[in-house]
Amino acid sequence: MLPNAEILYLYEAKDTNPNGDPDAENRPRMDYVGRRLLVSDVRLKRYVRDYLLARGEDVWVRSREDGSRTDADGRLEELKKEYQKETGKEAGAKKKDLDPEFLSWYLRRLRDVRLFGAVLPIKAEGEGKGGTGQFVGPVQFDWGYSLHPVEVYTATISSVFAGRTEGGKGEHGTFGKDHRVHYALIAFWGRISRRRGEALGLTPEDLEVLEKGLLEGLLEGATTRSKVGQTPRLYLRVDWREGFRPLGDPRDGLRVLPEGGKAPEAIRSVGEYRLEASALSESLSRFKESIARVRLWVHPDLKVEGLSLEGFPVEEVKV
Amino acid sequence: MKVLRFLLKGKRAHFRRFYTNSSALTYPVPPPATLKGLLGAALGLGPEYARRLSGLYLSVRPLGAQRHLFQTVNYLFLKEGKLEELRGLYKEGRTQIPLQFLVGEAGSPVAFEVYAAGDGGLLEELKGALEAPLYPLALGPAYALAWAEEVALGEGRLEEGWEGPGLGWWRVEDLSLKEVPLGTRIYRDRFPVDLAPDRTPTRVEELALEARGEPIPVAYRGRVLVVDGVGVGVVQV
Repeated sequence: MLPNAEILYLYEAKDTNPNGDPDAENRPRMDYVGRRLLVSDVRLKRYVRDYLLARGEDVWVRSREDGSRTDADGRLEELKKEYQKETGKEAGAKKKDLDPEFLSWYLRRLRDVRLFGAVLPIKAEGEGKGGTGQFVGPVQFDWGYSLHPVEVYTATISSVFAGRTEGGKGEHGTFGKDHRVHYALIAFWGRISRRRGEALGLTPEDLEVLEKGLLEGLLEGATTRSKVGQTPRLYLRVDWREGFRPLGDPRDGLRVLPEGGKAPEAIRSVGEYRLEASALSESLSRFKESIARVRLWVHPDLKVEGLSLEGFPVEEVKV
Repeated sequence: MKVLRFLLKGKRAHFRRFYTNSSALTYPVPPPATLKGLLGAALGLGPEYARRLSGLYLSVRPLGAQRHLFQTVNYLFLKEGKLEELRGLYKEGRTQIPLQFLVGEAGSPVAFEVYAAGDGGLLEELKGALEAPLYPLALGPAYALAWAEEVALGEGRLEEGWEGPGLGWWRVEDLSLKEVPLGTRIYRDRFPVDLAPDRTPTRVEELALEARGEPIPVAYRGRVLVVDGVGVGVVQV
């Protein structure tokens, strides 16, 4: 049975750019007033989608397997052919309303839609306007942020290829800027909605794959130059017995305590701080009777203090 | 009359001003239509929420220090809703939209005090739903996760016209301000009150509110919910 659940997910970013801001020369997203690094929910979901692709699954938001961009009609034809091959039926994609049977097939095929939702195009009849159908994702993540102040640094990088060769000018590499953070422990708060999940055919297995996507996908997928250096550190899922309880933002129960009198922005590795979680334990204790189970995974290098789950039905997440 | 009061909290909020286009600016509080949707979500309702909650009186004010945070987000460029566009392949590429969030100061949650008044049975039901919502609560977009605290039922009365301390939102055409304290900041805007099923506004009201949620002395010709001697400017949804 699907749960209503809260997710707390922590990962570190070391000498990397976790989520570039397109409007600020791809600098890491920052709340400069609060001095916290930010990561959008879209970036996190991209890791999971890339993980699904790497497993050989199709996803809704993607480029082609060979990296090329497909023609839209070609892609639609592919999907329709696939649908016809499997079911022997026409997709009926030109109706004003979405074809329920095609939709059902579509949802069975695409795990990322069952998890995160999608906006679907509805093709127009004749000259009429098309429309869109919206599936609200059962799994939603609030934007992530660093649990401590971080600093952004910039390096100048050079490229081998010439920027401009016209008239023999510029036959040299070009220079650019590379913006990164020294270290950030990033925390996401997410929720799973049973009702939304039932509407989209989400399964408990999908949620297991989501967990693997978060814990393994980040290591497998974040391997490009600007994303390398990211490691999952903690995953905690609280399943409610019934409706959501006002636990609040679980990140509020966490504190990063640097060791050796360091300033938080001077942290450079996981060994240089402790994560203090007694406030989170207290919050969870308040709702003990409403909690069906807790799923937990902690990286062995992360020093966690005060996370007491005694008396809770705890399941260890295997990675 | 029964009055339901609760605190609504989250880490970020975005209540898009419906008339904005290339920048997504936020109202300082959830508009009436957003609050109605949130209550419907707590009850686990689908599109029928609009009829089920019709007639409720709602009000809200910001609590605590808040500030704005801008982030540019990379959206798909949709002109016709084609599959090509939805896959990010529109010939003009994607579009970058500045998105304005409301956030609390110093890492605190962004918080609002909400009032709802109406049928006692419905309010009892809403109280239970806010304490254990069936759909997750959100402050605008689904990813702006939220929760409700201090959910309590009390008593109040509806009055036509009010002179005295007031909080909440006020119809601009019915409002007069006298001897406004120094430092008062009034926010005035057009707020969506009712939405069509496709979420386009079908009823819009010009409302004013004190931007920090402070009570202000008002002279008001419209309908007011009086709770503990304070006039609460309400909008019927």
